[in-house]
Amino acid sequence: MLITNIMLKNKFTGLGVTPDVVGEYVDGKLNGLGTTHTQTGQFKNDKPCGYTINDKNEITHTNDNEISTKLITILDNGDTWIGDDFGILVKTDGTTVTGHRILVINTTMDSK
Amino acid sequence: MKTHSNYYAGVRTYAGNHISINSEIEHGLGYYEVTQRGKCAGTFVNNQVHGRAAKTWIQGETYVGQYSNNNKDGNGVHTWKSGAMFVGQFSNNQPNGFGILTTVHNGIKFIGNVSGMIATPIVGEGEWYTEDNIQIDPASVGIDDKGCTHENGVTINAVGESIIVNDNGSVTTIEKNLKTTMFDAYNGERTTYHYGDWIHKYKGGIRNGRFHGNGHIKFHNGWNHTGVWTFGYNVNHSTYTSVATSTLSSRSTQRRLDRNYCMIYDMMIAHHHKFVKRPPVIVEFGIGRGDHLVHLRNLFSDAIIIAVDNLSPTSVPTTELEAQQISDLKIAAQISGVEFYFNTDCYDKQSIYDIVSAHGDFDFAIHDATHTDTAWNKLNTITEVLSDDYGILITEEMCCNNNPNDKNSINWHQIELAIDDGWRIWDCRIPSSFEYHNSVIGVYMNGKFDGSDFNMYEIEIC
Repeated sequence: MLITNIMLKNKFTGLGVTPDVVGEYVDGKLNGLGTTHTQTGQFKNDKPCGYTINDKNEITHTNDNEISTKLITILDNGDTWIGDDFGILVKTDGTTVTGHRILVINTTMDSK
Repeated sequence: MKTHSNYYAGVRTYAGNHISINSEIEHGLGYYEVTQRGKCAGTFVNNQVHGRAAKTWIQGETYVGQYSNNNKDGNGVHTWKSGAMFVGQFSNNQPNGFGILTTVHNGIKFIGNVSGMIATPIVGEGEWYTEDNIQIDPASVGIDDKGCTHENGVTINAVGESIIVNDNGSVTTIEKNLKTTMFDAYNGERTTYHYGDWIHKYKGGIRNGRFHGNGHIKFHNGWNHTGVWTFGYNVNHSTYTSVATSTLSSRSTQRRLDRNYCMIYDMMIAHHHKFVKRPPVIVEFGIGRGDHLVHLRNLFSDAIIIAVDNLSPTSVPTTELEAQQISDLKIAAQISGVEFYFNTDCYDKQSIYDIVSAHGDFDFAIHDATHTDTAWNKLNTITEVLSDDYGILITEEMCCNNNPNDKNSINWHQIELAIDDGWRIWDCRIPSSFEYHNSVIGVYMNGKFDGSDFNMYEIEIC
């Protein structure tokens, strides 16, 4: 249903729709699946918690302690890093490098 | 007649933005839920999930990532309840490209090129690693090149499903994800080797020989499932029966359970989940102590609930019965989230129109005011203001007098007239004892309400 700020202040619980946010609300806050113009995924108390994808198509996992780990990162040069500290770099030319992020990305940058 | 499977098939409900104010085309930020399947929040373009979305399935799987025309396409992460995960590139609605597949086998993961469904992964170039990122030969830890283990003749794939690899290389999943609940199996949506005799014990509500209300199943293999049933089918929403039996029994609630009226209200709730895609307008005529209103409030959190009574908490009683009713109203008036119309005659046309002009047509109207065998005939105004297609009017003790001990309580001539007038009437008397001789309930409905599955004694004119 269409919700207002007053409804949120009154701890609205249910499926809420506004032009900028759609999702599951509990006690006036986004709790559960939701989407905004910049983030889509799982939320707890209006903050990402669980898996989310942002408007750059990067994927992040956030635990209950609000510690976030990026699982997919789009680098400035267009390459895609899949993984956290250890993973695979998928370059824009289709080639890949697997290993520790800091080593892989630094090596790749150095070689350009 | 609609079958159970059709009637209770997943119902898709969308909430979100549309392409324009008066359009039904889903477009922009949105959310949908399909009962017994799952739910999705994301961006929509012309009725399709397109852009980014987060989906969860009822068996515990989750996908968060890019979508194109309802298909997973781009970067994403898919997780299983077993703890398995694939993060990487998707296309054609499945993993397709580079990524990391973390298996259920001690967290051993494949990093490289994966294509196809995870149950039957075609692993391309890549390497296997332990949780600590030490490269290994998967065969050294009993994992084949498709991420499966083989023990005692059982093959477990990367996400924990028990599978059979056929001679031609195809794969049959015989036990989908060992750690999911039995919900899907209960609905017969997949074939497992447990199907057919998997229930060891059921403890819970039964109506007319079928699971109905809150229940708990213990399966032969030790799995357990606690849920809510309606007419033998597991549903993922609360029902009148489930709420009524899990809270302190009140006078009016117990009466509805004893008389099997609860099943009609459960059907009404199923109808709501199936068709009424908006907060419903619910009107109860005859308030009593308000127990029924509390149940309705709990069951329909977003509903507009209206309560109408011809007395008020400040009325001066003229009889002992009225004194009791007024005393009850004083309790009911304390209930929050209900619009009360006291001193209002439910048979008065103008009074009904005044309520409609304030709140809209009625989706569910419940007539529980003073019962007489001809009261139904004075409800014409209410039937006129039921919402198109969905509106339902329920009246208890239909065509009966007020005395449950009167074996001649039912006025069969009035029953005939009512059925001629479009009512459907169910005989809810308990055949073994014929307690409550006036347990007859009538339903007047617009459009799509399907009472066929009620499987009780609907009265027909022969």
